[in-house]
Amino acid sequence: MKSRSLNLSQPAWAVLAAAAMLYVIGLLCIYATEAGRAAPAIKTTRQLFNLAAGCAGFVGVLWLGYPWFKRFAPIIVALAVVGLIPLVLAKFVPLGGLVPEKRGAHRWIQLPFYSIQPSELMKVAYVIGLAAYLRYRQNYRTFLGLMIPLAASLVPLVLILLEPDLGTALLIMPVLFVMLFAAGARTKHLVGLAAVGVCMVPVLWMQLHPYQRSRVLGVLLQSETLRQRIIAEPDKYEFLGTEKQAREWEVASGMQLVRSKAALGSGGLTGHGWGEGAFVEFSFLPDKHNDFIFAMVGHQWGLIGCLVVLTCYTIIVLAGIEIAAGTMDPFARLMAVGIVALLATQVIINIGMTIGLLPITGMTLPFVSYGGSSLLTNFIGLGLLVSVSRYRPYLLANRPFEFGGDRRDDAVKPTPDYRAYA
Amino acid sequence: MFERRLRIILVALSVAIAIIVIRLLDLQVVHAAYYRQRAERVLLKPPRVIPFVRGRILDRTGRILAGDEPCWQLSVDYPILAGELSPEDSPAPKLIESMWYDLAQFSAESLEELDSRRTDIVNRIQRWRRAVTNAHGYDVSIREERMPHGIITGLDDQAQIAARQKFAGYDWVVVENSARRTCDSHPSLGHLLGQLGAPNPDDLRNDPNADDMLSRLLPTERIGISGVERASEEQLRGRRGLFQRNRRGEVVQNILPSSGEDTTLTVRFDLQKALYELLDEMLPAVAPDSPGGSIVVLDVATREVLALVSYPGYDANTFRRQYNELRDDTIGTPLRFRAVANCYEPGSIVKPLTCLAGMGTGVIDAHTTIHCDGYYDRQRYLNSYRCWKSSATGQRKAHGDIPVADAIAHSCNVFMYHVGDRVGPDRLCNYFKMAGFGARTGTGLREEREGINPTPSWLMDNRNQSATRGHARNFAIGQGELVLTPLQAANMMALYASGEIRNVSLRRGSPDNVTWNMPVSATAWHSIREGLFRVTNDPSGTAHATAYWNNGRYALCGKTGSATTRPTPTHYRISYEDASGAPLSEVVPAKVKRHAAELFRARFPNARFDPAKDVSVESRWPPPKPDGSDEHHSHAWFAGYLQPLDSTGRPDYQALPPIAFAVLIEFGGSGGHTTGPVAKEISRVIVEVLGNDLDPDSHVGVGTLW
Repeated sequence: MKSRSLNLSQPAWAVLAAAAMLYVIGLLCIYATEAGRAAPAIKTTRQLFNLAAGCAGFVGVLWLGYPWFKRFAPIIVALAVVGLIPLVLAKFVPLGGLVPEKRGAHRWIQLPFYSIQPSELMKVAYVIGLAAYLRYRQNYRTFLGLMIPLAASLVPLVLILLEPDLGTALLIMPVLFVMLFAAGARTKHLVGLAAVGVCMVPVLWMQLHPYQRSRVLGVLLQSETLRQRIIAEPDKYEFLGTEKQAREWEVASGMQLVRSKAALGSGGLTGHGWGEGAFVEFSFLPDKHNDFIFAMVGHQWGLIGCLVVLTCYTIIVLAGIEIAAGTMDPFARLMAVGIVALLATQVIINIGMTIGLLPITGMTLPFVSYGGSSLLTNFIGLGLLVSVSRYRPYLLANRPFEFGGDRRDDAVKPTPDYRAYA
Repeated sequence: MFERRLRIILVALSVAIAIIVIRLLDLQVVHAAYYRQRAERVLLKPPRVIPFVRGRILDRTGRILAGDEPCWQLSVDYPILAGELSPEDSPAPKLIESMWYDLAQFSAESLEELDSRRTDIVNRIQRWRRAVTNAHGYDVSIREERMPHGIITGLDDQAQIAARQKFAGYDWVVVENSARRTCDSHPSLGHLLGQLGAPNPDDLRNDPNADDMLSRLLPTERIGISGVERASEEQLRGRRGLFQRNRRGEVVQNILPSSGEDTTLTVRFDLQKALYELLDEMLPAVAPDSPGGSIVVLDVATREVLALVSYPGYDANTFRRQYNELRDDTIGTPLRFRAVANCYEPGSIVKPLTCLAGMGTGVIDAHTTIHCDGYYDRQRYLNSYRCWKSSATGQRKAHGDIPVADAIAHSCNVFMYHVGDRVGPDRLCNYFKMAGFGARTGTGLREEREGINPTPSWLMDNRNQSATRGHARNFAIGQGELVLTPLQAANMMALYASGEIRNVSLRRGSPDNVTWNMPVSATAWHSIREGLFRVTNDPSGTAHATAYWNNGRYALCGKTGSATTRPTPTHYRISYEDASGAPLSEVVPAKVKRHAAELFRARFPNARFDPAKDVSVESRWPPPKPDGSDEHHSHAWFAGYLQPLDSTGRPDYQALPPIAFAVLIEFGGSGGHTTGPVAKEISRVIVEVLGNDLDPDSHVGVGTLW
């Protein structure tokens, strides 16, 4: 059934078109922030190379086909974990130029021509691995059975947290839940787990760095009235932050958020236009080409630009789910759902932090933000999604993950021998 | 079309997207205007403050005595001054060191001096930063920490070109426009004009312009701290300008600075200068032991100060450089503004006031005679209350029966004792108060002292004594607790001359002050003026021999005074132990014990000594006489006015004397002998400078300083 011709379905074309649109918007933003500088547009050029790398990854994935990933899933996961180890080691052993320290974290492995961010690749590997694990099992429909994927997820989670890269680590859990949910885990188990997770929040809170805590509190401290209250009654609101933090918020920890909101809000309905506007012309907003690129979109093209970006993501999500629904291969469906969840979570966290609804974490906006590893990962994910759509469903196959309805606690139906179709 | 669970996932994602869209609507549509404003604020560049030009100080004739003169200054970036450079953009320390050598060579100043200036700047900026930090409630860095600050100022055009060439290699050294306060360098003006300096915390707290960002006091700026610079601070200060662009280069704010107003003094510089030079010339001849003196000249009708001389003086321009030298000269005490800040016992110059009190209260009248046999009461007070002509050994030289005018002309103590005794301390001090004793005269100078009017309540509060007639007898001849500044003495003389009680004014445009007459009859005034006229013009008067001066239109009238006083300490010896415990001692120049201890501690921080026990007077001035007696020193006064004469050469008591003055010579001895000749010369100089009509506004011509 493998076909060497392109042979793309409608959803695959939609996903590709939306991704291309997002990339172009991102490239325009990156170019605009660099335009008029004496130096050549170095980031724009790099982003073009990043696209080339991303396309190579995309074509490579299509050429290999997703079953290849299914077969080598354990090896892929193992390689991704091994890739993370130097980053963790660098905390204890100086690895010099190989793992440079940037902003107090070890996130990049510096190769002669290219620096890679293993945690980005880990995200895709995690989805593949989880899909490969879940496809034959039913034990996750029991509460104890859920513990195995949960425990397995802790390995990449802890490694990424050690770098530290809180943003990427935050992705693991939502993706796990969405995939388990799509794979048919019982809702009450998932809700129970989520409840346990919520109870763990105070413990995790104590583990956070003070700067991470202040970022989380930053969402609350946006409120002028709340800050005034803290200043007025510092003892009463001590748990929210000190009086000093509240006074300094606008110029210190809250500065990036204040400026990102000013950039977005001043864009208004239609924006200042491409390459126009204070925040594009001057460097007031740190990471404006990267984590905060959505603020640049809103600054230049206003609400309309923001809605275009959101629409593109909606298309990717809808088409992705369509692709997932269209395949009868349980691995493919799980993987497709996992990739959609991965992308959607990134988008929600990134935009959420830019508009001040979520704490600020280092999270890129898929396809839009500047960054090689991020773009490569996203294109590999895209390749997997498209690849899934190229394999037409086996019409005779059972629908995967049908356990006779979600609410019924009945016995598992006789399982067809999936291996016969693989 | 979707599986059920996939649909649920889709719904969840749609909810998230809906929340995002709502938030975007809120930011970009509902509150767009607010955020546009915030974005504009981010664009603003820090504003540039444009300094104002401080007002000038002019003398009565319009001559500029002090003003801001444009110049150039060499400024060094603050991070270099403070040594707060981050390692990556720090120039090599050797380069910074060589810059300081070059600066020292260029300005011909020592490295220590430059370093102390550097420390001053850094301390000032840090003080300012602390103030801003306190106001904001959190730590902020201020713009001054990124700006260059003047380290060598006052460069002329040629020097600035040389500086530009010499310091081209140091890109953190810049040549900037600047202004320097330049004063007329005549030493007679040092005290009067005063100095600029950093404002103290009280100045900042009591700033009347605290609400106006552009005129409020900044801890980094220099304000008047003494003299007229201080008294006219409000007037001399201008309003700073503000210039602000945004990052696009558009001018957002452009407020031009407004210069301060000029202050015109009532003083005539030519008179001031001539009188200072007169003292400088005559003092060594008439009173070799005298550390200094003072002359105050007033316009009687308006009570404008025409000259306010304090000798020795200093050059206001070089004050800073000479400060230590000036401070340590504890014999000459050139830093004291003697004319307003030093108080002296008035001696006989208050005697006319005693007579006025007597006549005003009715205990005597102009014709009452009192018998002087040389002693007030020979049996009881042989030594304490005797006339100046009599000696303690009982050698009697009496004035006999004399009326008021004679008593003044001969300066009869016994007459005054009797009057004081009859008037009593309460009423006598009331008359002193009317004459302005114990109160400021109205110049507005911060240095001015009130003197002491020893009223019964003052005596009770400060001496724990009940006022007695004995006190009154003492005060009646100007002894005891009563002390005056030379300016108060001159004002008292203007009162004798005009009968009017009035505040003096030092600056033109001072609020018009109230005039009222002393409640004394015309005959009483006549007898007082007659007496004052006879002091110098009658051959039997106490100062006729030395101070007779008459140019046909005016005759010098006045009263001499010799106020007994004691030598004052000039040096203290401090016995101390050094770190090793060895007993040592050191002599420190100081007028008072406390200053000696402070000065010593500043010089020897590690020395151990007890300020209460180990500080003793090393020497006093004037030094003991060869016979060992140092009891009978006295300050010499002459307070007088120029009495108009009629065509026959007789004094015309209907005409208002135009000019009153007082001269004091510290430790000058007898008033008649020492100050008489000086007073005569003063009269000559006044006529010479003001012209025959004695019009203070004669010869008005605008002189310039530069």
